[in-house]
Amino acid sequence: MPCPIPDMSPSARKAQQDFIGCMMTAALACLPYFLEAFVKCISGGGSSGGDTYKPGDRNRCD
Amino acid sequence: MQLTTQDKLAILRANPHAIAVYQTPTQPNPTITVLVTTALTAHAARLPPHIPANLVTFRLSSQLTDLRLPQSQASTTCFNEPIPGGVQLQPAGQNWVGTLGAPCGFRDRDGNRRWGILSNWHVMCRKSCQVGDQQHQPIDAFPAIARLSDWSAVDPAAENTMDAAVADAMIAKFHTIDTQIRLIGPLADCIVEPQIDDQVCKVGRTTDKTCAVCTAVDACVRVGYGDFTAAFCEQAIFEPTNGPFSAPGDSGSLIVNTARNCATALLFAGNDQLTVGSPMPAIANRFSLTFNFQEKP
Repeated sequence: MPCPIPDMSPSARKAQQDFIGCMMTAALACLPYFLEAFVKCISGGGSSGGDTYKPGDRNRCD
Repeated sequence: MQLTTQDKLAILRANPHAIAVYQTPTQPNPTITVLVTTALTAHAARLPPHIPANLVTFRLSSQLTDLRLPQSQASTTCFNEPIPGGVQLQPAGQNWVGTLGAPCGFRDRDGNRRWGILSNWHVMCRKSCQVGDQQHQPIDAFPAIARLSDWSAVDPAAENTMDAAVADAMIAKFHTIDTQIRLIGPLADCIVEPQIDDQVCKVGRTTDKTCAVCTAVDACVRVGYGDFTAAFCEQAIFEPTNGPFSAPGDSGSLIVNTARNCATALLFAGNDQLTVGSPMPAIANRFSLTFNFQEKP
């Protein structure tokens, strides 16, 4: 049975196409940032691990 | 009449005995004050022709110098991790000590957020230094607590606005630093421009916690660094409310606005009467500083 296609006016169809286009563009633009964040997550916070404050408690005076 | 920075620098350059020039907002005309190391009159002073001599007050003072301390007078008081601000600091292999002003966050030269320490260029660097140079507490016989990351060098031939440097305190996967300053505690999440009459305090390795009042802003000063002198403008001047505010070794101390608990200036020079600090907003802007350790990178 064919999928029903909503009867849309030309302006509604144009708006729908614009919205999908906008979402595709945004997703593509975000992809590099997502990948960078993902790589940082799996490697433990970046190349040096220095960007999150992690206080030490070492005795360094003796 | 309103003095420009160039007017103040012109007075400093034309009068070798002048060490500071600033203006205070008295009515009906602002007072122009020139601090001098030998008695000077308006008649004898070389003032730019458009500055009325009757508006200028001369005040005797002594040379302003950077406030390093020779290593021979260094203390061996060592702080375990996490290390607070206000303690002694020595760069590896150098023969002076200063003060670790404050733990802070900053952005390194690659734009990455780091957690580390703020002090003076002339404490952590001064001579030919490189990114990664080790900083020690209390002296370089103890393990390093940070590595030099970025600095604003003082240029004897230019008009300077700050003497500041930052170092990364990540050592072997942990930060060596605390989030607070000794005798003061954690700072509020704010950075304020010093204003005349502000009450301030600082903690330095020599004089510990002392307090003062801001008596001038937007001053041009001449500071001796031993083997050279340098001019600074847009500086704040602080005078003690009880006893000395600073002494050699206190260089690098963070000056904190008492009423708001906000960072307001970085101490780098002084004499037996007054102390000079660079306003913190400019330094914060230069290094993207934060004192909020909850902030995300």
